[in-house]
Amino acid sequence: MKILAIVPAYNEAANIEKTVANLKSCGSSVDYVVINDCSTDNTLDILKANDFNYISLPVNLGIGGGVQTGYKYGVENGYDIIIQQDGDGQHDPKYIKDVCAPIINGDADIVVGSRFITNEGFQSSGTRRIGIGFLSWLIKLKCGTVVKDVTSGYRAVNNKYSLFFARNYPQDYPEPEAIVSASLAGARIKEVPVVMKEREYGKSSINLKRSIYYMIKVSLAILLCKKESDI
Amino acid sequence: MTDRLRVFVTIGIVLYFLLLSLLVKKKHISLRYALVWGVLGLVFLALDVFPGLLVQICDFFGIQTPVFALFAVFFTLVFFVLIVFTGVVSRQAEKIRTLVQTAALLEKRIMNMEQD
Repeated sequence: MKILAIVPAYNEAANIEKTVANLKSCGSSVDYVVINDCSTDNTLDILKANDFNYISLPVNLGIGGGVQTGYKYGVENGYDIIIQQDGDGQHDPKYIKDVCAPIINGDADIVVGSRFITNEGFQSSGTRRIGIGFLSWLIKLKCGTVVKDVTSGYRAVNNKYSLFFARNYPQDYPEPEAIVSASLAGARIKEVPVVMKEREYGKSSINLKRSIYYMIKVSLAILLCKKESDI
Repeated sequence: MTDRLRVFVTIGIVLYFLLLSLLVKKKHISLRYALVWGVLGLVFLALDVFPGLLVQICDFFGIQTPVFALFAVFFTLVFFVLIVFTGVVSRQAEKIRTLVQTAALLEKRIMNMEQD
């Protein structure tokens, strides 16, 4: 079974080498591709110098556009499962087999690596957890799908829904909306426990100032999301 | 609306159409989008030539003076034009995203071929 890990990276010069090294430590069973989202630091130089497998976007598209590029690459190259891994080193590749297992067994189309099942490791701040809880409730209300860690970027997707995401992937702050769009298209979504680390270097793209915009934008996106026709 | 105001509005509309045609001629804006603004200008021209229309609008919406009705029509139309162009920008953003992704994927293929 061909498995691809897509690693979106924007200004991750401090983290990307370690993130890829961790991925490579999983063995040859998992391929990876780093999507350099037109970083302004020397992320691209590091990718070139280390001969990493990467795609470099000529224009910054944001996380949604970057991840979608990874899905397009994965679909083009015939991968059976595509895994999303953040470029900041928060996601431990040792859980790849756990997120892939329900897909391999045919129990799920999409698997979300969740921090909130065993509540171990980095749990995010209290206010963020309240926000995540609200979005989780909103998703359940919208499509009946229960996902606790709706903002987790640690995901595995089978080839059918990789094609779906290659064609339709939400843009700014896409994680919760991607769950809704896939769910409305009929995807079976499961959560498995993972332990996440706090990012070692750099800042999260969502600061306190953007949180209000994030909640309004994502809530509206969930409520307005409609079933895509091309699945 | 006083005759004096009507004269100024007429001059304004003529200048507006001249500016629009100049921008189209210089290819600073495409004719397709200039037409949207052109429709807005035509509505104002109609209100200027037939001031009775403004009085009717005043009566219908309960506006006290025709000048306020003129502003109301102006803001409403500009609002709709902005909505139209927001749609245009959104569609273009999507097209640009697809192009950027395609270019990056093609570059990746070329890199792979060069390595082979």
